[in-house]
Amino acid sequence: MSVWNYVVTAHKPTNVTHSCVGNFTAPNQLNLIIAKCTRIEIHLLTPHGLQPMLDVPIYGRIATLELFRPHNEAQDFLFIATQRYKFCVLQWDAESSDLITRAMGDVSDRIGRPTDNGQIGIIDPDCRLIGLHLYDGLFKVIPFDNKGQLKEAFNIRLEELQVLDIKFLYGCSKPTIGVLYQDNKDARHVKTYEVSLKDKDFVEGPWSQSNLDNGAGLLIPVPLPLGGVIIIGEETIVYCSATAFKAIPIRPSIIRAYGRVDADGSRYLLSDHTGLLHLLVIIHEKERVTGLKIENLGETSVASTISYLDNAVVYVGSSYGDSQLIKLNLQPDAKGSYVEVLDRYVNLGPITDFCIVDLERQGQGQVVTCSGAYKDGSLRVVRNGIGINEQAAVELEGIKGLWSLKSSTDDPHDTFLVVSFITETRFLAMNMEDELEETEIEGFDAQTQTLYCQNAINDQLVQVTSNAVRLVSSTSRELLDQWNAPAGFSVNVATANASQVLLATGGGNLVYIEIRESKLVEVKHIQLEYEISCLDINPIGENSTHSSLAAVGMWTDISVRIFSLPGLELFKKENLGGEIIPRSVLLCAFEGVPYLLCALGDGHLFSFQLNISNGALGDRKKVSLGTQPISLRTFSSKDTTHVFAASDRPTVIYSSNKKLLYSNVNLKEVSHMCPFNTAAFPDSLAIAKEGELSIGTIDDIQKLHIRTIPLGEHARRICHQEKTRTFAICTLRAASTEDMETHFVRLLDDQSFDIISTYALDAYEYGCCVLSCSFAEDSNAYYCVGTAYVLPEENEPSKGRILIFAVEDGKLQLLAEKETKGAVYRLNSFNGKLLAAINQKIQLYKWVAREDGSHELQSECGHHGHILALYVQTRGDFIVVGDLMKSISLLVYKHEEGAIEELARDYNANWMTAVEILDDDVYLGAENNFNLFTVRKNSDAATDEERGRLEVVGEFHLGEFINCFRHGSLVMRLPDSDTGAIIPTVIFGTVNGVIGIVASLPHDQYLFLEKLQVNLVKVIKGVGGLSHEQWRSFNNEKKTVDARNFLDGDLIESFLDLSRVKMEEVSKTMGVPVEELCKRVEELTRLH
Amino acid sequence: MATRPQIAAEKKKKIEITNKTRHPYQTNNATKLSHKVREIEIEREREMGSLLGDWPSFDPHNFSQLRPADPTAQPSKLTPVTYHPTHNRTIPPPNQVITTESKNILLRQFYQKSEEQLRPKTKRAASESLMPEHSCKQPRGLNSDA
Repeated sequence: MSVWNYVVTAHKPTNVTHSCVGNFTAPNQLNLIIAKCTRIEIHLLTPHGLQPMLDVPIYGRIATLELFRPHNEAQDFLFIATQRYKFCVLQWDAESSDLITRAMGDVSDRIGRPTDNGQIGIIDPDCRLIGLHLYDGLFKVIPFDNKGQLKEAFNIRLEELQVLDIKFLYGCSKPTIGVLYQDNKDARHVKTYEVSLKDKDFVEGPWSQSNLDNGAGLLIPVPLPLGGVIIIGEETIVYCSATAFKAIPIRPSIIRAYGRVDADGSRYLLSDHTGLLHLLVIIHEKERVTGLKIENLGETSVASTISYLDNAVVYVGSSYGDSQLIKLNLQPDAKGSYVEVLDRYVNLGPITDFCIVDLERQGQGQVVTCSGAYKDGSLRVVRNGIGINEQAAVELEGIKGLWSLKSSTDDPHDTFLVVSFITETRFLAMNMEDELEETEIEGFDAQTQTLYCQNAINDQLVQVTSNAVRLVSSTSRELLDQWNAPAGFSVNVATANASQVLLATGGGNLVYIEIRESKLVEVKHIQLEYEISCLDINPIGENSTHSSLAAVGMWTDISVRIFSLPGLELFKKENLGGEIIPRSVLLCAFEGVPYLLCALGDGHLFSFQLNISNGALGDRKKVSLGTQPISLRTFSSKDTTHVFAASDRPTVIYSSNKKLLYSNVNLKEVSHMCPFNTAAFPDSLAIAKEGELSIGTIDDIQKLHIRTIPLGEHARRICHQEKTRTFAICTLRAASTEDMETHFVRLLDDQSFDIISTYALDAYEYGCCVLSCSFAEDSNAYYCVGTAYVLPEENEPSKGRILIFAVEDGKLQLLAEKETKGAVYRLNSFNGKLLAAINQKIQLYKWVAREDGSHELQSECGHHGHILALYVQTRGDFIVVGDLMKSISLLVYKHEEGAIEELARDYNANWMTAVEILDDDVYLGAENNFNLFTVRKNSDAATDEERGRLEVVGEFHLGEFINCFRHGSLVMRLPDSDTGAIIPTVIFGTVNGVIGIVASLPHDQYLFLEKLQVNLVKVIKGVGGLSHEQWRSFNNEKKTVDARNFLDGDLIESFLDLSRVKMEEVSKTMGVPVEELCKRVEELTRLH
Repeated sequence: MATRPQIAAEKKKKIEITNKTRHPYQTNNATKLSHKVREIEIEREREMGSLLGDWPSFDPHNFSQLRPADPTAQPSKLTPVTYHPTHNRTIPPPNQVITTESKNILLRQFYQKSEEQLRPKTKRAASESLMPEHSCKQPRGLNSDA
């Protein structure tokens, strides 16, 4: 790999951090708005459920999301503040469906200590001001003027330094906040302040309440007529106002999410850390609060946000599990739960670890993540592309074509499968035992190759061979009519639909035949100047049995032409350029948009938008799908038409949001495909591969497939062992007794994902890492597990273990254990030995045979000098260490001396979260301010001092907390069509559930894309006026510097979503044709 | 910490109250107990019904045709269109680019105090009218403060 890197998201964040409900897109429309860290999603509430409207990337990590209604406005505005101290106010313009910026700004202060408990952003219910608590001891006010415009912000000194929550109170004549804080004796209190906008200061508020629950952490302001606040503690819930104080005890729990149900504030939904949903009711007589009541409703995912939507339906957003849409029922179900889950939405976050495996041995990597936390912990199998699940297969050599036929027009199922070979045609049919057996269709010619086959109108079948077109009754299977090729000519290519046949005989002759009742009628015959290479008349107009257009691909001038039917008048000729002839054309419609697809002999594919009335072609795009000729065929899945491109790299072409997408299929080489829908194999495809005919079903059509394996406990580490076909995972489960966790090492079968063996760790013992390896002179595969004893009285673990397991008869067998003087944060296989990172130390162990044949770990050498060595990667004799707070250092193992020495280090104070070795000299790091950086070894430098320094060569703000890097790829990697080289990639997983790719590019490609990025920034604006340059700049407490040597792939790939006009604008400034830009960006999208 | 008993006392009181409302039938008659338990259950169900009923409805049509997803199915993925604005209205109106007032809080308070002390004098000055403005320019308040 190299220093020129391209970073792109393969799976967007799914961790839901905020949500709110309001009339955002229209006064009469109710919207749910969800924040997923760096993106917001706008949904519309409809009778059918949530209808997704828009996914909006935000150039920042969202700290606050609030809807509010300024005076005299008919719909709500959206206030967003980001963690890097930017904010914006967005309004929906329904006319153009755009988000427009009403206001934005920078609310950072040059001095000030960022708050420990997160940023708080709140809006006065009477819309007089926005309040922000971003730095300890400061409360920032952005006032509204009487026209709803924002004015210059100012700070007010806030005496309370340890603020836990701040909320505006309802119904106060002056804007009033309630502040929940902790004093320096760790006691918690609530104080109220009026904000005096005139004096720019606080005035003592109407009430205060001292000495609350020690776990009080959340304020809920209560609207009028009741007013006041609810204070949520860990053991009590308190209602507090100037006139009333009511409290109820609760079962000890931590409640971090609430949702108001009624506009008058009498009921609230609360979710605790175990995912129990409670209903909190304020009992009141008119305006006098008389008590509180809390009821358990049932269980959901552990919520980070709750939004009551409408008609008893509630959105539960989660950071630790799948988010849910639930319904509150009036009657409990059999388990006593009032909660009914209507829908669940995938969340991969937090990804604590993952591994890349090729479970189906198809040459394509799948990512298996440790996802979720607590009871919502799970493994997720993430696979790119579309899977064909093979149901049946037969060996058949030399298939030249495949078609399915029904026995009558209204039969819902296919009966026959026509398989064509070079000298014959065979007919297969499902028999009574649901087996495929050879049969006959009497009127068809079985002695020659079939060029095309089709069900025709009036229960007829049509077969085109090299010398004739035969029309056969599908009921009697007798020949009804036949059209013969003229003497001396043979049919080269042919196509048909239910009522038309189009064929080409040699010498550029094009013949159009119509299918009537028991009759074939030659309607038109023209001669073209060159030979015809491919044809299509797939109906895409309103009439599904008849086409008014024909697409024809030509030899010699390498063109594709559109003719009218029945007249065969030339509508349009499009020269494709180059020397490769078109091998397959297809007329098809995606999401109601007609397209012409044209595939070349070298695996390239052109797509055009087609005007049905005049055959005009527009929006020409070229992509590379493989290296071999492609054959195109439509098929249906879930009532939607897609296209299967059979080649050495089979691809499904589909459309999402009016954009063509190309998704890999998990098969290596497919020569032909046809849909084959029978009672025994419903909605299946027949697929001709090398030497084999198989029948399989197809996955849902989408780019990434995620399979969930719920564990009911929190998986923290995962590792795959090829030899035993198992996974080992380190998990933890909250025990039923209080405050105790039990940690396990579990063994899973890699096909069924069943837990087949478990090793329970000691009390207080945590599983920190797991590795599959073998040793020098012992080629058996072992699982090595590093642990730490985390004792409540110790600041840092002083004891741990290394456990060596073998898998014997599907069971984990502990073969050896070695006690360590600290936590074993990381284990690596290193020169046939075991390298362990233990607290401050890197330690190398040998695997030594004892006399009795057993083995033990023997310490060989080590290296001190880290704060905590948390992350270790090795390559050859080199060891790269990511330290808790001292960035990256490079060590080397010296064989002769049996010693590990430091070669170089990065002297920046980066707090690391993951490291990876890109190549011999360049190392990649992720740190806890959400940045990525690369460092380079200076082995050629002149002085020792320079050689001892790792030079920072790349910096980038990703905005994601990376937990893990792994070399590998989500897609089947074939050499790039142009360069013949494979772009190396590293996959990363983050807390928000992002799976991303870092790809190292050749320098010239990097420069080209850098230029494209610069131009795109001018065209694609930051939502809310936020700056892309500032967003991607490397930023921590010490410095902010522009991004370098990293490209923002998410921005670059959004080029493909631009309108043609905007693409041309970019193309003009770049001086590169749109088609070329599209092709190069499309190729990048195929990296993930 | 010294204050926790206060909360605890409140807690206890609350429990008593709730117990009273939940168990209005204080009885020692064992034969009646099961009957009472049943009554209490009914009471609880009725109570829950009253707590759970009457969910707010903004548009009765919303979710009316939504059928629950198969609980054994894999969770779904909602994929809205990604928004890439190319229009010029991502830039706010010029007066709506907000910054924080640069004046230090301490200085601001100084000025405010001085203005407050000036105010009665300027009031009088106003009644006397036509005193030239510049006479107030000197931070007289500051001087008088000292």
